[in-house]
Amino acid sequence: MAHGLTLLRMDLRHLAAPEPMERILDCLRGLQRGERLVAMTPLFPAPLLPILDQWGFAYRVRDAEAGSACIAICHVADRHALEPPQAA
Amino acid sequence: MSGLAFAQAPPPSLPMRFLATALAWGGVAGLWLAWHGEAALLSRWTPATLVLVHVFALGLLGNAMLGSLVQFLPVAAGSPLPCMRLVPGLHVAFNLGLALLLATLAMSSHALAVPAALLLGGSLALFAPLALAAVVRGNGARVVREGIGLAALALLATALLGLLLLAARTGWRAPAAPGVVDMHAAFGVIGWAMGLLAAVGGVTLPMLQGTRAPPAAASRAWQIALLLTVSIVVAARAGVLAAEAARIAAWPFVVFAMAVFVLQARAPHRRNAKLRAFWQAGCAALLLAGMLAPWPAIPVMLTGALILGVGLPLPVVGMAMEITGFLTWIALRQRVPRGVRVPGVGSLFDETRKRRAFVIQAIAGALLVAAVAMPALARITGLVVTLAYAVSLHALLRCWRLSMTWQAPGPG
Repeated sequence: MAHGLTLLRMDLRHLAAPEPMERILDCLRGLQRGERLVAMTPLFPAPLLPILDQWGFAYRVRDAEAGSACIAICHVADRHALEPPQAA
Repeated sequence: MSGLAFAQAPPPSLPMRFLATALAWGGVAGLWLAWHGEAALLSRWTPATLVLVHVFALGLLGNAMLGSLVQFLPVAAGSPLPCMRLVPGLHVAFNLGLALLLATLAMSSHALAVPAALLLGGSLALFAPLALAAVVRGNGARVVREGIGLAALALLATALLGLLLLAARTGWRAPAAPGVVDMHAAFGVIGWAMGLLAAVGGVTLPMLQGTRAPPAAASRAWQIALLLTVSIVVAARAGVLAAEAARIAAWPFVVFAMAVFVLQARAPHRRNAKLRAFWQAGCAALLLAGMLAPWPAIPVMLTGALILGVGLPLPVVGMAMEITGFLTWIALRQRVPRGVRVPGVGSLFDETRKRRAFVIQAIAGALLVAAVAMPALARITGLVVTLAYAVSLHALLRCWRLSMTWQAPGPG
């Protein structure tokens, strides 16, 4: 279940492109099974998504205010527990 | 939205081919000027000038702007261009159509006009509705989507009027009314180019140069004012309003340049000095053009050179370099295995090459403006313009090549 996953949060909205993507990918290197990363990005992270697919991660993206987005990422094996991310 | 991935993001090679083609056309513009010399700068109506204008407007700016839309729509509008598989074909059709249009304009060819119109008009008639569909169904910031949507509508109007003028020029229909050329230019330069640059700049200035985002209300006021300006120019050229009313066309260049200067000066996280320099030099040219344009004594060739030859190309070339670093990084990240750390974007595009490209682009721009006043400089200016775009294209391709050739350092 989603609330069973350890939650890591990152607010990357103040960073210049593509630093938010670089930070997320760096963080994913150490992401364990049972953990979930929720990141706020300044824009919809479209270029990141093919890389997440390729790396075997599941994700959900939700639009947030002023064109920013909130993405939740976990291992594919945990995808059943991936809940819609909360922006707050 | 899990699973949307490959539908959302274009492969990096797709926008890349537009950007590389854009700079290659910039080189063609220089070669054309070097070949035809003064004839290309003396009057706006000579075939040599018409070709030069369309190489800048469609070859350089058109390719760069269409390519940027392919990359930018998924990010800013939250929706990719529909039917992405058509885009490589559209790129070929657009550029082949442009080459045929240039041949048609240069030779006033009756026969070549038809394939030119079909390929160029057809590709734009398909691209603009696809962009409109993306902004309508997207869920990115509304003011950005509306700005891109208005620009796409202006592109359609530009293409339609362009086809009308082409048919008139090559004898397929009666000569066009004298004001149609100015309407075509107003829709193309103010509605499409300035409209798109402002809509995209509203997102990329904060993202890449660390400025504050322009307030949504100001962006919306700009869009409405731009729409009114194009309408007034069209009405003035159609004889509905006094001809002097068309002078209003100058203000968007002044306001856009001033807005960029203010945003850059007040940037809370100033970054990307080279890109800022490209924008500053381009906006200085746009500001000068906007201030000179209302004066009847100022030749239209001068304001045209400031806008189409310098003011719009400089920010676009700067952005092309910035986007190339980004696309190279994405392509590299997709190619190398998950555990391998790839170089950061900042280290992929050599800063020295960016600076070199900026310096020579700025010199070429200054020479182009000087050559309008002193046409004897035209041929040497053409060679410098060619060199500027060759240097920029070389830097671009050198960076992009890393996406295919970069290897992780071996152990030890």
